[in-house]
Amino acid sequence: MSDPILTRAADDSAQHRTSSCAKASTDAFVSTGLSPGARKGAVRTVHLIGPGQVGRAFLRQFSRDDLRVVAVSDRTASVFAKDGIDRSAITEWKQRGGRLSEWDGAETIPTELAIRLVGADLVVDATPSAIGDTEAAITRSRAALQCGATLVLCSKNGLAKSAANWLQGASRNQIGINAVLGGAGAQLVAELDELRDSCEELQLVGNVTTTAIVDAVERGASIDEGIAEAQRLGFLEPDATLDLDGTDAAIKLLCAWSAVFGATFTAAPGLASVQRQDVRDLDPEVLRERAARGATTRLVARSGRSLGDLRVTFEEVAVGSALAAPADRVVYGYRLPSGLRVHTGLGVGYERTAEALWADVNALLPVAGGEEAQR
Amino acid sequence: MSATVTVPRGVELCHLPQPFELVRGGQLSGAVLAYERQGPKDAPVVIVLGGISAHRHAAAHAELPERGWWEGVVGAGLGIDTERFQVLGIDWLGGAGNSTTPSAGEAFPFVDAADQARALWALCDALKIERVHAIVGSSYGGMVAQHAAVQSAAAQNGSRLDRLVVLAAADRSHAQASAYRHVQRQLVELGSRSGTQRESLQLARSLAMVGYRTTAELGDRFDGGLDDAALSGWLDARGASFADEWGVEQFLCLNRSIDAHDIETASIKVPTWVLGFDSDQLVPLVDVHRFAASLPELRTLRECRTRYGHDGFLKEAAVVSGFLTEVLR
Repeated sequence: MSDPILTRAADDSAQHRTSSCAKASTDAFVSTGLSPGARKGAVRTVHLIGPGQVGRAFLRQFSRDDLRVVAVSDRTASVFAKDGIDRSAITEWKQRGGRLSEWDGAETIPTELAIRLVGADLVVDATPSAIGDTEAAITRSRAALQCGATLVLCSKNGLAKSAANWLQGASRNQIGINAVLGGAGAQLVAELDELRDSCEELQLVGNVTTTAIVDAVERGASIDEGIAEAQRLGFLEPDATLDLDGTDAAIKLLCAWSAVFGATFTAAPGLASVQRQDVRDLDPEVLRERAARGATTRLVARSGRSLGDLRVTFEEVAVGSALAAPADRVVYGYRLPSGLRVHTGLGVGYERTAEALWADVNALLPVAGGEEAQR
Repeated sequence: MSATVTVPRGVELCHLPQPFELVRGGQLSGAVLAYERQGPKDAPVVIVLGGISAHRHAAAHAELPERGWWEGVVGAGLGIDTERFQVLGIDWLGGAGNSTTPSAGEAFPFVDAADQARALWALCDALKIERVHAIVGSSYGGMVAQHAAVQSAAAQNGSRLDRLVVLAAADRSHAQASAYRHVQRQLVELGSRSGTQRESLQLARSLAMVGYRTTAELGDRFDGGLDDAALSGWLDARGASFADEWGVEQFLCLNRSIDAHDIETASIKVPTWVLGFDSDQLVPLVDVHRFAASLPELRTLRECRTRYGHDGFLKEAAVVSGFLTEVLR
């Protein structure tokens, strides 16, 4: 790939926006007959990456007249329409299992290139997390940030590696991570300076799937029945293994670690460095015995400031502990000298994850004119 | 969508049901209720609720030796005997403790005394407390306790509250008490508009102190007059201490909640004991009598003679403790 747009993508600076983003590439969407990059005016443009369950919920919840979805990208292609994409049509298309590559006028180009070509004011990355996608996720985010877009994330992978960088300087006010941390990301960003200065330990219960499984097992279910219950509640990731083997919780721990502690390290810990425990290895009788004593069990992700002590394990938790959150919420705890700062997030399940995305959108791009967001 | 609290070591939290709908509209998201238990875990439960500045820690005990807000009443061998009862206390929603509360500048929905009561029952659910031996509520806590009794009586599975004890509270606020609180709110709101929040909050609390006490007590303690440094020093100190702990939004939240209290007493279908204080200018005895007379399950109405006015429930520890010993036996 010799495209100068892509070679510049390695640079996190936003200074190349004018030359590398939409202005330089207006003929890439020739099949649509429309010219991307029309980003000025009262209406601000939106590029949705990942019209999966969360992405479609985001589109269904769309109610702001001052925002217009002009591009949608999935793994196969991107579609663009300067005057706005029919959100209902594309939602139904994806709901039926359609690929964007089959959409009339779609462009089968890399997503990061589409981000640059479209040059939208707001990029919403709602792609589900998947192992091996980290570099692609980072590349997409870099492209959006370099183009000067406001970036609102649901995807965890890139943030786990790059939060320390992205939440520094100018880009800190350009990026929303609320949905990544289950609706608790906005609180983290709001208190980031204090947490960077004073936080001694992270204590997270970020994976509600395992909480739902534990609840079911405490009521007498087997682990498999508990997994089925979590599935029924819509908590499982598309790749269920990530929830069950502790990877999802580990990635969230890495996100928080990178945001709070990462700025003081030159290297970020990888997923392999996080000790994990699989819910399928639990003994149901142990869980029920704890419940009988008035305690409970949670998948707790913990880390201090050091690189070498990140772990995600099932712990006995007192009922009165802040970590004993029910399965409808996540808890991100930050140990400070004054106590445990507890951020409770409700961005659980597809609809509420989309609500968490919208909370970021409304905070970062309030309705023009200063009125409160319409949602 | 989310909520933030800071929890000191040792504080227990209950995650409230989501969404936590409020009776006057709006909801709290991701809300938590901070609580404290002392006494044997398998003993009958007595819930202890105080005024707006009370909190979860009613009295010192081995694990938390700091003084509580109701020393002399709660403790081993006292009226609320921590050797016989498991005592449960909470931090108010919207107050200065570790429960969900407004942060500086935050718009916060109206929290009614009935909402506090619902949170209390949610806590009992979380702790798997099937029966409550008594709820003992003083001042604002007495208002919340009344709502808790109503909610318990209306529960599908039948009431799980055995006794209601109300001290220094009635079924609605007296006009004089509301007048005091109105001026306090006006002071605080003026301070917010003029950028003197802390000073205004301090003044509001100083004014509140005058309402809590009596002419007799102030006359005995102070000379009065323009140069009474002891009097002004006392008021300033009480106000400053309050302003150190409280935010403007928290004060307004609970101050309004008190004035909004108005309950249909016919719905309080729980055996009830009432203690009034003869010099209380906020909850005068005439209101206490009216309230008690309207209760369908009144067991005892007692009057306490005191020079401490509304603060009699705090200051007359021996009398209050003796009364509670009788009630809770």
